[in-house]
Amino acid sequence: MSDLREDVLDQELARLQNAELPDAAGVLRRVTSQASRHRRIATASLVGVAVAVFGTVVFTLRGDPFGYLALSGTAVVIVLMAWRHFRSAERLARLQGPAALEAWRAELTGDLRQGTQALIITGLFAGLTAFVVARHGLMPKSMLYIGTSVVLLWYALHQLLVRRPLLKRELDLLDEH
Amino acid sequence: MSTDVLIVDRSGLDPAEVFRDHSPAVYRLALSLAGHPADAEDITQEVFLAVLKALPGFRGEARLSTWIYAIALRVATRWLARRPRTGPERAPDPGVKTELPIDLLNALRRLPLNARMVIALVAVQGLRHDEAAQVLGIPAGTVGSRLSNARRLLREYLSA
Repeated sequence: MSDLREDVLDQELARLQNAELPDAAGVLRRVTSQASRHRRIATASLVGVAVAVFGTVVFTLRGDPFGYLALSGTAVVIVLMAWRHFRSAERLARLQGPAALEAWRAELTGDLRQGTQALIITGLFAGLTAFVVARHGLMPKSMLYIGTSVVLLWYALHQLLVRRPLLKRELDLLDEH
Repeated sequence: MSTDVLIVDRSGLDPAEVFRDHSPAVYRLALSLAGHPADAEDITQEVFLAVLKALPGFRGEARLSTWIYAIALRVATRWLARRPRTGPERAPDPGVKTELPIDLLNALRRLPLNARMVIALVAVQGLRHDEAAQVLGIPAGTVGSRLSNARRLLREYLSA
């Protein structure tokens, strides 16, 4: 059993209450710089989506279903990845109130399933890519399919090998007693 | 009138002002959770990146400070999950002069994260039990029981 008095613990806690952020200006500078980088990512995503949408329209007018599928798929991938990137802060800010902890846990559990979902989508798109390459050879359109497949595969592997263990650890931390 | 109200009453929130007003509290919160000054500085940076991105969506339903604390707890948990366990013995870098209660920080690192959160919000930030309950999303009674349990454990660790 502890023989440390309550008032001694309170004195220690009071010292913690007086702790100051050592380099506040530096931290603010780094935050601002990162925020600018995120804005550039958003701009690049918008440009990417605009190009992909334009390509989708062109291929649609030409009556080329594989070109249409490739470009619209690319546009969806860019939008989804940008959306996930920027939604993270909004999700962090949204969870508050009586059911916040359960909602947080539910979100983490939902995120755990994304690796499997991403792998299924990657498998389907890889099959389509193989079909297009077999039919058209290594044309620019096929390269687009291959590029999108590589991005999807990278995303799925990242979800399964990097994100999943971190999410499990985060859930474990929340359940620590 | 509190700083919180002053900020919420304005139509546009000034990010630099939000940082200036709330970064000391977020740093102390992060320090209580991570137990190391350098880690706490990194967490503070990530918290404000998230806060500044989410700020346009802040509607003022809660106090700005408690809204930021809720974000800080989530960012810190994610950050601690990413970082391998470094053990309770880790101390600030040698040669760095510090006024920090090193023994207390090491003791805090031995607590379960849920207990650290309650200590950080109530004993360090000075929130009432109902305010801490709102931030944590648990009943106020649970805050009280976790707090007394955490304090008992801290006294044990500090006297060992």
